[in-house]
Amino acid sequence: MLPANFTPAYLRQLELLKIRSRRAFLGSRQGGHVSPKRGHGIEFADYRKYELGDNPRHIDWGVYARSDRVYVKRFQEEQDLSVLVLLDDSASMDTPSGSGKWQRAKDIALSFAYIALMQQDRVCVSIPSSGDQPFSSGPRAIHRIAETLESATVGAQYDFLSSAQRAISRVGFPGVAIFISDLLMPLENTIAILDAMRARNLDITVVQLLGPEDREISEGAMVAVDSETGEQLEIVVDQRLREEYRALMDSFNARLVDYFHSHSIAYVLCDARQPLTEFVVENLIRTGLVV
Amino acid sequence: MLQWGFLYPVMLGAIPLALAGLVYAYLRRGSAPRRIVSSVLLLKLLPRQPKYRRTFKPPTRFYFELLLLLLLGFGAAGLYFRGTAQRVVVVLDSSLSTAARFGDTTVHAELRERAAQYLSALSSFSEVAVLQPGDSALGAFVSPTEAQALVASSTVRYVEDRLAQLVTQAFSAPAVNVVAVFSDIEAPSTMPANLRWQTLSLASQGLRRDNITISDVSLQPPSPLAKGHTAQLRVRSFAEQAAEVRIVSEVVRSIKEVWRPVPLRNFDIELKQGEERIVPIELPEASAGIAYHFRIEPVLSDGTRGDVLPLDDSAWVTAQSTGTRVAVVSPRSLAELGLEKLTLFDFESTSIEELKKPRGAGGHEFGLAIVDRTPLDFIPTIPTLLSLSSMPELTLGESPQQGSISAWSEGHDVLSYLQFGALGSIQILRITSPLWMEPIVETTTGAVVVAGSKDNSRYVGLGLDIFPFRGSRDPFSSVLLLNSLKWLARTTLTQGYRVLKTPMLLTGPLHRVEVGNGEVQEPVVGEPFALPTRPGPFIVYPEEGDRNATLLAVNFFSPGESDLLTATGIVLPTVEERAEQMPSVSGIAGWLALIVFFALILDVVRYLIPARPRAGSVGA
Repeated sequence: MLPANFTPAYLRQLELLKIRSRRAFLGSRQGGHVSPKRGHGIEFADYRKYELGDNPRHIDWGVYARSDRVYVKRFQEEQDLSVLVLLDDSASMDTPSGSGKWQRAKDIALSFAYIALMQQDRVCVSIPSSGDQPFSSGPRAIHRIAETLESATVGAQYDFLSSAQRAISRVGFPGVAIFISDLLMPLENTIAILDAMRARNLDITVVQLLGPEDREISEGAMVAVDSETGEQLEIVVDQRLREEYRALMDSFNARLVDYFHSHSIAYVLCDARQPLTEFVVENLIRTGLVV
Repeated sequence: MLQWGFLYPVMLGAIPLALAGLVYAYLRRGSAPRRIVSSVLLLKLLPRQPKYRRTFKPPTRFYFELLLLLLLGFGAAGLYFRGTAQRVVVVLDSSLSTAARFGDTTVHAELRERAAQYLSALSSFSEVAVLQPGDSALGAFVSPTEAQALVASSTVRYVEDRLAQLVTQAFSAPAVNVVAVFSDIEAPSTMPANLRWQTLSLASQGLRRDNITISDVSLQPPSPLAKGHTAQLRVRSFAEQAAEVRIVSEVVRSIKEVWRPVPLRNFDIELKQGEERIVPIELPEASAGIAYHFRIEPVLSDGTRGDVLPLDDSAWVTAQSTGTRVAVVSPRSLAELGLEKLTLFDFESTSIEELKKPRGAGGHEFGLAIVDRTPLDFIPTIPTLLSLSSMPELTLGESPQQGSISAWSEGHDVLSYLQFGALGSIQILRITSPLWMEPIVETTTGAVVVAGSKDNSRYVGLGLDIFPFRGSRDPFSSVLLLNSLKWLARTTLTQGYRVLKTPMLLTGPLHRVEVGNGEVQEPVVGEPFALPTRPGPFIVYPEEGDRNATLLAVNFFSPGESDLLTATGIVLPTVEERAEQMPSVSGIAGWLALIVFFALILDVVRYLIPARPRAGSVGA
């Protein structure tokens, strides 16, 4: 059963979309993405000298008439695409509890899965703390993925980095990887996860999901408790500190973006309060992640 | 006297140390609210914050833990309370005599006051039971404070004191140390050591003790040979002087009137010191009622109005019905027939059709029938008096005939006390009766009264008109009617009025009981219903609604309680000597340990369940 906000109208909009990869990947079967493999297809690739055994139907008789040489036309094959959606299920994704960040992350992951499945692609929504998830194909698989996401909860204090690396290591085919996270972890951890994806020759897109509580800090005294490590920090926030925190957050994100640009990683920032339809249908198209 | 202390006072020294530790911990911790944030990654990069708070403003939890610490300290130091415990039975005399006027108040109110003072002086470890005259059993032992409430709610009861019996009952309770008696009766000359006796009598205070009482009452219904009702009031003086007593009589004619009796007649009598007199009261003939009320208003020879005990100046008499419902089929009303004056039966006007129905389920519930000037085409299945009426097998002559009594059956119950010799020529309708009926009075022209039995029911046929019932103004008809009813009902009908005495138990079907002033008591179903605690009238409703309501009135006559002059000597039985008090130590360390244990659990639970973060508060 799909979530209630996956209305028929929203699903119809998703069916019109297609996940775009910036590179061509070999697929396992016929699909909707241009493959590096030459063969039967619609899109012309190049010419090759006729060799014994080639099908005479592929001979370009026009070239033969002009040059008196026998060439055959070659076409790019269209194959399916492997899509890995890696969902950050660390405790920070559901902090503060009930903020809607975690639910929004699951909705975005499900939206990607639906787009991919409707385009005959293979998709795997990986939630590290929920165990291994297989690649699925065919529209019917969306219900199983939806159930998995519905029952998924954020992990308590656990090592997300290792779990994520382990999940990435199980990817057998190159393809597209979408990493949905608030990225509120040490930068080296983010880089380690992305490096693991790059090592698998994946075309990476990072969706950073931040809630208003992540971007702003309220004034007053408090004992801040880290949702993942339990570390406590007594702090008295005033106006000046709020501005400093904002600057720190901008600087932190700027460093991330620099890294993404330098490693050809697509990046989308999502506000947890932004309506799902607006984010998926408008923002993702604008950024070119889906077409 | 309550004492307290510590078994290990040295342990108290640990409290200040622990207190200092707690304060230090809160100073370190600060009192800022805990908020769970996504990550403190960026917060740590902010400029350093002071760890110590400038002002010490601990949260609520600090005070909770402080209390915990103190309890723990007291528990460890072995806090205890020491006192003496007694098991006391307070015998509070609430008999009628304690209602005597005692200055502006009553003896009973003063006794209550003294009992309350006694109870307030008892140790809180003590257990007290309160016993009063009229109690069926000793109540539960409660704390002195609760016992004070019981004493405060006590009221005078219409019972005799019987203090010797109460004291014996009190000492028979298990482990009783002391029995304390508060009474208007002088203490016995010899008493057990653990019996406390406080007397508060009018004599001991030198107060006036003159009392005049109604010690009995009776009422005879109007007989055919006597005019109206005759009451006999027994008035007795327990005064030290002569008195002029006004006797007031009132009548209640219907249940609706019960709370507003109608005055009948008042008259005065002279009563000498200590005299007892039976006062006959001839009540007016037209004053037939369902209840009579008599009261006395004494004026003593020294001019004092009223006596010291007004509660025994009243008496009630109520009509006693046989309970038999009599169906009356007549073109005349009950009033025209004069039957309303007869309280022995419950007369009801009804129809031939109703009478024709069989008795019992689905039919009527009448026990007797009077058929007056109405021909019947059936023989009633219940005993019936046929006055100028016919039924199958019993016919009446068509036209009245003049005749003199010529013969009668000597000794027949229907003819008891009738003087036929004085009767001259009368007008009759001749009766032709069946074989199972016997002509018991005959005139020269035929039978005028017949009587007989059929199928276990008795029947009387009259060829002359005996209605309306006019009592002594028409002796022949009245006696003939009463004799006939008596013979038909197979009853003696000798007791027309009754004098009920308290306490009384009402049993049988009871729905509610109205006791005056709009107060209604609803008895527990299946339980005997003891009523009343005070004399006077009350209405018993056996079922929902007002049907079959019965008026009862109760009296309390007790010369012992009314006599405030004579000191009653009490002889107490020998009782076992017992220790008057026992030391009692209450160590509360165990309780403290229990409280601390639960408080610790609460504290841990509160610590383990983190507070819900406030939305929009902070992030990292």
